[in-house]
Amino acid sequence: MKVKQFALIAAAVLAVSHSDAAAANDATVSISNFTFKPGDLHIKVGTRVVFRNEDDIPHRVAAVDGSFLSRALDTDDQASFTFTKPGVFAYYCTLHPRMQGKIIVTP
Amino acid sequence: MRDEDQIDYPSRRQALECMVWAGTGVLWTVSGGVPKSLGLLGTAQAAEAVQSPFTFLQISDSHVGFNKAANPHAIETLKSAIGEVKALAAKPAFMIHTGDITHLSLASQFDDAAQIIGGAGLDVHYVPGEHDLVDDGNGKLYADRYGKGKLGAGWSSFDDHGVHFIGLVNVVNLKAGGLGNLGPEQLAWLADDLKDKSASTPIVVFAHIPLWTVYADWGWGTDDGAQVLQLLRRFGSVTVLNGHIHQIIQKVEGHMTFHTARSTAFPQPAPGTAPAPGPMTVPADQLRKMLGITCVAVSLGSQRLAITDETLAGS
Repeated sequence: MKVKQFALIAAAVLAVSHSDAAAANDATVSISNFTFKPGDLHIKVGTRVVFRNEDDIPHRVAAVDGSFLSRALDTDDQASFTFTKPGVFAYYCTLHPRMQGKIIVTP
Repeated sequence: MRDEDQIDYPSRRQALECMVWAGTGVLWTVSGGVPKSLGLLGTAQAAEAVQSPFTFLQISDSHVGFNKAANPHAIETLKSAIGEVKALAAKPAFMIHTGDITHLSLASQFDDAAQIIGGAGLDVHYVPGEHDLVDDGNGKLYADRYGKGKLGAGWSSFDDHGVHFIGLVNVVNLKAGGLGNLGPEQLAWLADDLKDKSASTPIVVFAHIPLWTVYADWGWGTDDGAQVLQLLRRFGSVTVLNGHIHQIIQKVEGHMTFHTARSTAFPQPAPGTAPAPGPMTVPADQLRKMLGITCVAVSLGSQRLAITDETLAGS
């Protein structure tokens, strides 16, 4: 398995308001109907990814390799992580582990 | 409420009362070591069950803190459920709570749950749901409250009226892509716990996520649940009680009865009938018919415990 050198910079920023979601190089993964959308997200190094829960049930985003873990996101909560290394980062929901996605980070 | 020595449960009238209330929880009667649904009792069985002095109660998925469209007042429906418990003519010996006590593992939610559920005046045996372990301490708040005297993430066993009860935890260390998970340490403990038990000992196993696969696409099953069932196969009476799916699904397989309880907070869709298993919003006048508790009556000499599900519709 590839060694993941992913560094977590903006850890688990929980925001109930939408006010922090406007950075130019953000990418968004929405969570609805127990699905991460898009399931495969392609980004450049340095991109901040915002996970936003649109379900009426909490979800919690966790990297398979343990490199990032959000808090439990209630409805409309979001968490963001900035990806500083290239690689493929698989993640899932710790409450509903059938929910899975990938962040594909290129230089 | 009557005294223990006056219990003649389940009389026909009481059984009917219990059925009216079939949405809050499940009242279980252990009859001859086998839990049996009171709602399924025929006259002869009912006569036999009259000699049963022992009932316990299951509540599940109270989700204290939930306030979304499917039930903006989940705390009120939990109060109604406990009100139903207190009003039972035959006082149950104890309650089991099969997890998702809280919605988000907040201390205030645990406090509210403890206060409301404590109002029933019954001992409560808890196992956690996945919603009870998402605090910053990854389960510390649950362990602080309910972990005393338990092993691992909170599993344990106890005996009551000759029935062996086992509370399992299948909501910890869930693997990406997987279902519920017990893990080798817990399975080894279970094998050891059961090894000296006579095959005639009635067994009741309870855990949050169903131990058999109800619907894998929605995660409604336990990856290593089959190993539990294998360990239980030699017993003459096994009852498996779960929550998590917020609806009643029951099946009987040989000497094993599987039963899931309703939630006291919100219903979820039947397997595969919706895009996702999230909270199901129903017309307000229908909600309480889809919430409930479960009564289990235990009596000697029959194969199954009596399981009756009661809704909150009358409360």
